[in-house]
Amino acid sequence: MNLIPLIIALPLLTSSVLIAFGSFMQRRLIEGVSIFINIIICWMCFKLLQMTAEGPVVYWFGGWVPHEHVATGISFYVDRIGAAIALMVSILTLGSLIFSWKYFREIKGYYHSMIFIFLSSMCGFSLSGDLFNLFVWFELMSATAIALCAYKSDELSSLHGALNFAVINTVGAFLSLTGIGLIYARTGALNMAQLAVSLSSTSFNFLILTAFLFISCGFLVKAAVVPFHFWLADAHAVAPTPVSVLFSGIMVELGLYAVARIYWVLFSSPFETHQIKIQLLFMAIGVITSVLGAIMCYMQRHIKRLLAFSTISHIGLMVIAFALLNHKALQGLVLYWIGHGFIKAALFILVGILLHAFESVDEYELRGKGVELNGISFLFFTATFALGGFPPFLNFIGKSLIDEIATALHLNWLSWIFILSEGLTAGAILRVGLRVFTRLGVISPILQEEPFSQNRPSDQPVKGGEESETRKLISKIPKAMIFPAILFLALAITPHFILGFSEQVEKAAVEFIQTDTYIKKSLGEKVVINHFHHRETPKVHVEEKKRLVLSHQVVLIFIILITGLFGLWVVPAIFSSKSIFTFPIRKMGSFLHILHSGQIGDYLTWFTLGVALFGGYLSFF
Amino acid sequence: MMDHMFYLSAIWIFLLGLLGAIRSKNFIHLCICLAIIQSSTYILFLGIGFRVNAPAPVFVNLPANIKTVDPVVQALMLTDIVVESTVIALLLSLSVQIHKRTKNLDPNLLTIMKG
Repeated sequence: MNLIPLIIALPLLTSSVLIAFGSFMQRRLIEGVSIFINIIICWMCFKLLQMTAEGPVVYWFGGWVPHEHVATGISFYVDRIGAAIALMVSILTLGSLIFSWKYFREIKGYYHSMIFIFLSSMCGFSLSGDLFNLFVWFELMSATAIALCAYKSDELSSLHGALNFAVINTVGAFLSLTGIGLIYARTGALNMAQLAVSLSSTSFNFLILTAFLFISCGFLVKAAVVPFHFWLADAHAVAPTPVSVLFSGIMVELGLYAVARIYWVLFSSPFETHQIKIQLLFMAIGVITSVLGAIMCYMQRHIKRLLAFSTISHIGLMVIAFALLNHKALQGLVLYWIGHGFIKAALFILVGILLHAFESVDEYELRGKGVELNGISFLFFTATFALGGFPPFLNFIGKSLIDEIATALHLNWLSWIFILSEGLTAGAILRVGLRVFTRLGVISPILQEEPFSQNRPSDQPVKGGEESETRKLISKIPKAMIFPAILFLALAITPHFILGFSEQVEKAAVEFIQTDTYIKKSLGEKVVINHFHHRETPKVHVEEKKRLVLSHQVVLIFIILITGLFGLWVVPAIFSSKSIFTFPIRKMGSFLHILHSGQIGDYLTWFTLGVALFGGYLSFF
Repeated sequence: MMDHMFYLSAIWIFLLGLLGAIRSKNFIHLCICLAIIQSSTYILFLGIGFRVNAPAPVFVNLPANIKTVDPVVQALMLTDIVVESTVIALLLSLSVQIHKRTKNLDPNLLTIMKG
């Protein structure tokens, strides 16, 4: 039982020790201590996951257990999904620390201590059972993420990206806090189980709707859905690679986790009558996010920005899966999350290896340079097709579950949205891979004159002469950098083959949705609750599902290959032609680029517009 | 109307801070606008916790069952002040670094992140 606070306390303790003694420690010692402590934390999270196999575990801080079934303290509610997220966070941090061992030329103790605070706050965020406590971990996570994003503070673009990130996330957090205040005003409670008890006997009214809107818009800013997504591309482009691994792998998805947790625990009961409206809203948000993210992804030249837009697109798909509000869809969402997180982390590591070797992340500058890197190219193409959703990988299994539910609810067009966005994003990454690792493709700018030259890893000297880097290069890439990529790709496949994994995920999804389990575990068995329902899964024929999946897979492979190959020759030709027939495409492309202007005022305007639109839709329709 | 003054002023200050942040031409001004938005949340929370004619929640000379002003929101706001001061300090230090490199503080002149 004391494991839970130790998971939060140990990284914070390590980070204070590293800050205090970091200037007296050798770099080897700092790295060794960090990786060792991180392995211990991974082991503790794994033990925690095993503990939740019998049911959720609740820990009340300071011994303030509920008094007569009323919560008087701050709790951590650890169910399977929360523990799994904490485990995923610690594994991703471990890979990122192993990668940064060789990535940074010179580093002091404060990088590692910030990583540990980041780790601790993400674990606390995923395990927390109190609404304000959730907010505090959220703010701590944002603050360390800003500091890590601006790590290369001698480059102007890092500062700009980090400022964009900071301002929009801070405003979103304040909106979330306003929502928390409104909920506190209505119910007088901050503990999520207590709130669930109070809100279950309230019917739908405008105050609860506004509170839900504010709280979820604040978390959706972190999750980078469409009107609030502008900061993610900027932040990813300038953050050091090990930090981008953590951002895309887990930090962004935690916003969606918070919305899902808050919806199911607090608001599923009062919103029972208006569930269809909320589902429609989230479905629309998800569809627009995934399509826009995929299109913007295709039009990028800076590889990290491209990967960031593909994260946005996949988050859109996850929001669609959440909007189905079904435990099987949630099961698919969890599998998709794990698969996407690890594969995206592996892709960022591979791009980091390219950056380390060639000092550029510009697609055109890197053209043909990776021809001799056979191992890296094999990993890169595997990761590309994995991201597109291919059979052994977890995101394929998740996607097929989501498709199954979508078909059962007669929403067949959702499968096509999945195919379109996965196809476009994987096609864009395939285009990059083909350009870098073979010498195919024509160079001609896709509406971007020059990407910002934020290319050098920190403290690397500028490469002087043009030695033929090819043969010597393969031995120059340190094993410590390749190992995390292989680890992450392996972790995106192997959980499926562990005995009992699918049943555990299904139980996890069912547990996440059942609010009364949450209340009873936290406050005791004899709590009085008024009316709860949970939705049943519609049944689906198994043969039908297999046929659907096969034909969709074929279309998906086709789209990925076509968009990848088109991008090499046809698309640059379209954008450099001046004819009237390509005018609409060129105009739309330049319009989308102008929208993503990099100005904070624009981002905040879109934020305000988004919140107003969502609120207007929920109130008046 | 006077009963709802707390909530109306919290909304007004939030929107004012947001407008200032959108139209800002100086990074320091932007950070202060974020602090203004933060103040609106303080007004909201403290207004929620307020009770008319109730004493402060210090139970030295008061009977134990008297209704005081809500201490929970005060604790929440103290926590929030600490957390947000960290974030604003980070933002201000980033602004100082930008000033060191470009000698001006205008967000609209930074056009690196286009596209």
